[in-house]
Amino acid sequence: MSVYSSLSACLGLIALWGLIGLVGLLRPMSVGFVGRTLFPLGALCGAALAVVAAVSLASPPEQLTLAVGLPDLPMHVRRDALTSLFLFLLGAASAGISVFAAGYFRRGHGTAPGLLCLQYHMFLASMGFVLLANDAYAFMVAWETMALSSYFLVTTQHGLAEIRRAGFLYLLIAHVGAIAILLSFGVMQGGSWQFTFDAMRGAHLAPQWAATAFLLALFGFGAKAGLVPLHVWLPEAHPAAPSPVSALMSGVMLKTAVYGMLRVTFDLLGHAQWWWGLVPLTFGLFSALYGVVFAAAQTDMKRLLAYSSIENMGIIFTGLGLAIVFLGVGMPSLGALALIALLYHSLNHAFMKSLLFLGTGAVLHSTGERNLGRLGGLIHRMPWVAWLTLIGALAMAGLPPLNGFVSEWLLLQAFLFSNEVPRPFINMLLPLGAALVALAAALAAYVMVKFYGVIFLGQPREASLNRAQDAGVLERIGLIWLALSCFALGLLPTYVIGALRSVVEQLSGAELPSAHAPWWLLVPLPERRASYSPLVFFLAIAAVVVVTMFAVRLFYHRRVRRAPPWDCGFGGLNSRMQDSAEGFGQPIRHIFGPFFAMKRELPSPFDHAPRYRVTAGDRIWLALYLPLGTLVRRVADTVMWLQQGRISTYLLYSFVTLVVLLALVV
Amino acid sequence: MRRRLFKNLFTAPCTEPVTEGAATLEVAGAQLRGVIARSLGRSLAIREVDAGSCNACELEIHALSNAFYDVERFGIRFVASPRHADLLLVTGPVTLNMREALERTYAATPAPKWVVAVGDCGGGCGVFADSYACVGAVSKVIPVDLVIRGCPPTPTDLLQGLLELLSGGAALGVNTRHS
Amino acid sequence: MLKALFADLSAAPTHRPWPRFAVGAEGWRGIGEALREGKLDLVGLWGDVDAVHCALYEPATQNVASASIEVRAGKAPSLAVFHAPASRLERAISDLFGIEFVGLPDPRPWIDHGRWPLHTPLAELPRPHAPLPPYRFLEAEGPSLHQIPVGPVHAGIIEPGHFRFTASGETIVRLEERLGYTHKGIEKLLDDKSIDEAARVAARVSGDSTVAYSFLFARAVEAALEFHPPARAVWLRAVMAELERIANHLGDIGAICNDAAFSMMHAECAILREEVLRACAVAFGHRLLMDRVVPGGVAADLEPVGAEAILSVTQRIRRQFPELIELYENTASLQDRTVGTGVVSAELAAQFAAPGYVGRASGRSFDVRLALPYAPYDVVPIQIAVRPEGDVDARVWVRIREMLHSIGWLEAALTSIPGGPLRLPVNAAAGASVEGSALVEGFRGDILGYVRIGPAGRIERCHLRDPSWFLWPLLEAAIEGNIVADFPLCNKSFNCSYSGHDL
Repeated sequence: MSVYSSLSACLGLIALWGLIGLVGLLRPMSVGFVGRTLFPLGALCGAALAVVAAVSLASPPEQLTLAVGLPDLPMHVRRDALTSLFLFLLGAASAGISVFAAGYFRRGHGTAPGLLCLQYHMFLASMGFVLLANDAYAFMVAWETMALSSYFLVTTQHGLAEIRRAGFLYLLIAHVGAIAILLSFGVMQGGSWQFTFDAMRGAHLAPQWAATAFLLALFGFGAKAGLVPLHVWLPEAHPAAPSPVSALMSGVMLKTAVYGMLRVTFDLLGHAQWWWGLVPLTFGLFSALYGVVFAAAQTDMKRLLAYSSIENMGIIFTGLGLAIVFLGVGMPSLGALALIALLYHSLNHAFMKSLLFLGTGAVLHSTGERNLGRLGGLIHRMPWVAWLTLIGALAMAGLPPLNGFVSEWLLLQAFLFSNEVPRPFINMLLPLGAALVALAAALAAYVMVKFYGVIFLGQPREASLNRAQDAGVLERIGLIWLALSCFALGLLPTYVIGALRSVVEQLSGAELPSAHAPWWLLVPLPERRASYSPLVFFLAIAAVVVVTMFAVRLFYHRRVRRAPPWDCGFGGLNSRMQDSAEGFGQPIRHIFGPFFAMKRELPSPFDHAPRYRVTAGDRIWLALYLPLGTLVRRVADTVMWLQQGRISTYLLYSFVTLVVLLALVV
Repeated sequence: MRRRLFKNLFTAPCTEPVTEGAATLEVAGAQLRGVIARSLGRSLAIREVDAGSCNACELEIHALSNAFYDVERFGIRFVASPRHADLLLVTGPVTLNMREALERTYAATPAPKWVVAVGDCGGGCGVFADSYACVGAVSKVIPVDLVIRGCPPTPTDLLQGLLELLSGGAALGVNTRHS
Repeated sequence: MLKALFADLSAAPTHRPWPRFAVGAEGWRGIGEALREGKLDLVGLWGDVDAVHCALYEPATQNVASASIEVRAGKAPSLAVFHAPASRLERAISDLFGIEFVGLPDPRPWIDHGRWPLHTPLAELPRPHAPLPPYRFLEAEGPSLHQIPVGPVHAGIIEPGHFRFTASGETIVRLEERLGYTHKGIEKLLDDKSIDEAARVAARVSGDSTVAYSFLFARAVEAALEFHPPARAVWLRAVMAELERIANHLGDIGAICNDAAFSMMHAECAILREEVLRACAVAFGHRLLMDRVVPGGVAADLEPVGAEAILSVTQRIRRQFPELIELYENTASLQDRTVGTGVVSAELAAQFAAPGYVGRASGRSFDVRLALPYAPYDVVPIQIAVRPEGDVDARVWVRIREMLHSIGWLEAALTSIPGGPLRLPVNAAAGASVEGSALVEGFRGDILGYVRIGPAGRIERCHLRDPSWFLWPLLEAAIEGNIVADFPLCNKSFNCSYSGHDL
């Protein structure tokens, strides 16, 4: 083996991140130093990590035992194709985000910039380490570091009570998930009491224990991914965090949960039963629909994007469930297709969502408004941000030739052949999943129209918006980087899928049949005759645009008269006379009424000061979390009885414990 | 409904058999088609504006679209926005409250455009002409190409008037406008 | 109730056919309270240079009376404090006469848009023109609301008016109308005109109710002058009124279905309406029967040819219309749009004394032809249709039934028209001022007319109150909670008059 090993390179770059973070502590108050030097350095590290990971996708796995950790418990690391893919995702997405953050963080944010730099880079480093970990100990250390550093990042503006509350909720659910993951590892070690992943790979678990491990892992990773009903932290934490952090969390951190799920299901547990797949499938579909319907009803732009993340994670988990089903019933090529769809969607979502969050960050910075009802018409004042965010919105809406379309198309292709699954009821129900995915995709387009239209189009709804400034240079570079990635992922799917093949092969042993098609045509399953050529699409659109422009110029008489819009003759148009964010979502809210817990305050016809207020709340919060919280409080109150507050009672407890232990030992 | 549609297939159309009055209408109709084709090369889009009429003219304009007169067979149709219109059909003595709306409507119509004032009120000789609240004839507010008189003018009068406008307007000394 | 209110007062000697009492502030307040308790219906409220008059109807006893109160120092007590429907009427009086109503909850101008060359045109001394502040629409509070302004130029072939919707998405939270765009200064025009000239103006207040308005004006003048028109004229007037009702109802039913995008019904009804109008042209010489009813009689005779034309049309309708009714009932998508949309509650209909088919579709069984019958409805009574639901469908059904009843009445009446002169000369110069009032059932509802003729036989004051004054506010109540797309449907089911609302 040559001196260079990609594993060492990755480890080195991750350590460099940690170092950058620590260096930030040297000059904690200097925004210039942190912003001009450290963050761009971190971005370079990320880019380098992406390159190393991409190059090493097809290489065989490598392992290493590190000298860090406890005396008898060293940390093991391993890099295989799956790790490389997610490292690539981490590096590439974080590069763009770090550049944006370099221009974004300014004084007066709550936490000192140097401290922010430390937290940010520790976050990045811990995510990298999660991906490299090869035993449960390293994994959990990295996982918890990730949760903790992101908690500090979320509560950057810790002066505000609602942000503290959001952070607390986030940490709570993260820990509940971590306990589940820990328990899952505990089941998977299968009696050997060795917590390395190699031991888990070798352990042969009885089917019910394997199922338990799977379900526990699903619970834990689902909590981190924001699957319904463990999603309640997402819409609170993502808006509370500063925008680059939201982008990182939504774009990259949620994908570590996908990584964890894939690692557990296909690597550690080895043989997955087909019926296990139904669980993530159902929850995924439900999350997708739930997320998008709630996104349609939001008035805060970052909450809208957070719910959209829930939807996309739902789609990814649906793909996971589908893959498990196909592989379990012995349809390897379809299983491979589903796996490729979910991996591709993870990649896509990282870039699309980051782009959108960064766009909202720029808007928030220049207008100070998060509420959709107070934005509008920003395309005139902030053209760079507007056009780059448009690419993100189009990608998220799933329009060809951008990247969102490819992964959704692949997933739907996988669904459409699910009627061949040789199990009696399932083969009838699975195609319904296709309908639900299609519904979620259509509603996602609706949500993106609302998002983009209300913020950037129309008339400004507040006078202060006329003073909005466009984004700075560093911010633009970050946005452009992510937008170009969206284009690249969208226009060159064959290359991307070529890169993903090695991952899929390694994970499942299944292979996509190789298609003898030219590089610009995507044909996932040659015998099924479905194909897609984004380049042709793109060229066709470009051609139409160019031809139309040419024709108009040639034949146009050039007599132009500018006039105000037709207003039925009364001449008093103002900015209130355009659709509001809630108004745009009202039909969805009306149709999907049962999802929401609605509170209405309606005026009567002859009120002199009519008031109208409708709030759409989360039913799951009311039905599940509030009762749970009340129950916990009641239990705690009961147990409080033990806390008598008198020394003599506590001494009695110690004495009783001693006696009992003595009795047990003797 | 299907039964009725089926029955209508075998019933003679209402659109009138040729009698004395209808002959004038039919000829007017055919001439109209030829003239529109020469002048505009497509159908005529009309935007109707009520500038304070008593609604009788509107009722007769509505009647133009029924199966007996059926203006659409001549290529004439009514549109919802002045931006889509070639012709403004204005009724009523222009009330001062409607003056600005009428001017805005005229400004919103793209050239080439024509204006037809309908009824005695539109022509300035109706019973409301001297009121404090009315401007009077439509021509006092926007340039008018033709006046079709009547209280209210019958649908036949309306069609004949439109034809005269588009064939060069000998009867009332108009000039077609290409502003 | 009326007896109780006016027990100690003596009626004005010159007002016919029902009494008019002059009351003071106490009496006016008593009227207000009776209106609020629902014991009386407000039929009309109009101003004069030095007084404010109102017409009241008592449902329990089916009696009508008018009351007047003097204007002192430009002020008069407000009825709108007690009775919401009076609000717009008082605002209009304020605009025209400059009378300040003490306690009027809504002081915004109604008809005056600040465009006339003078303000308060009917006052003794009109004020010169001064700019008015921009009209303030009542805002509904709420973060999710946006406004949709529509008008005055509407998308179809319809009269102008401005509607300001406050909507949340598709649902309408509030509608506010602003009317006055077709205000032609009719009341001032009628001042100092001869009876015949004024009759021509009155016929053109609202073109679709021209017969009803001419009928009303003629009856008011004839009541003032204690003149009895010849018998033949009385019957012919009613024939024309019923023909107008039939034509309008046919047009409306079709148009309502058209607004729900069911244009087949519209096409079929338009054919029938055209045949009715042509029969009118054959019978009386004018498609819309304008200027055919005049004070003193009628201006055109009904020849046997005309009677035949009318009868053949009614027979044609009798043959064809049942199929159309079936079409309306059986088209599920149409029923889905009309049933349950635009509901006017019975309480509101009673409070506003909702005229015409709107009132009758909400359970208020008032029709002037039955409650206060005038010739010839006292000889051959007419049936009315009442429904309790108050939605668009109910209003369509009331129109359908009324039309069929009118056809039946016509066929019966045409056989009993007596011969005789068509018209007798009216001598208006009675040497003293005389006042007359009348109520007539137009196709929309009851129209009130008041006329005061001076000693020289010229009009001193004429007020014609269109039923739309009470229908427009009900539209605002009916539309709430419905979706924006249902507004044209509701609006057409009301079919209020813009021009008649003395805009």
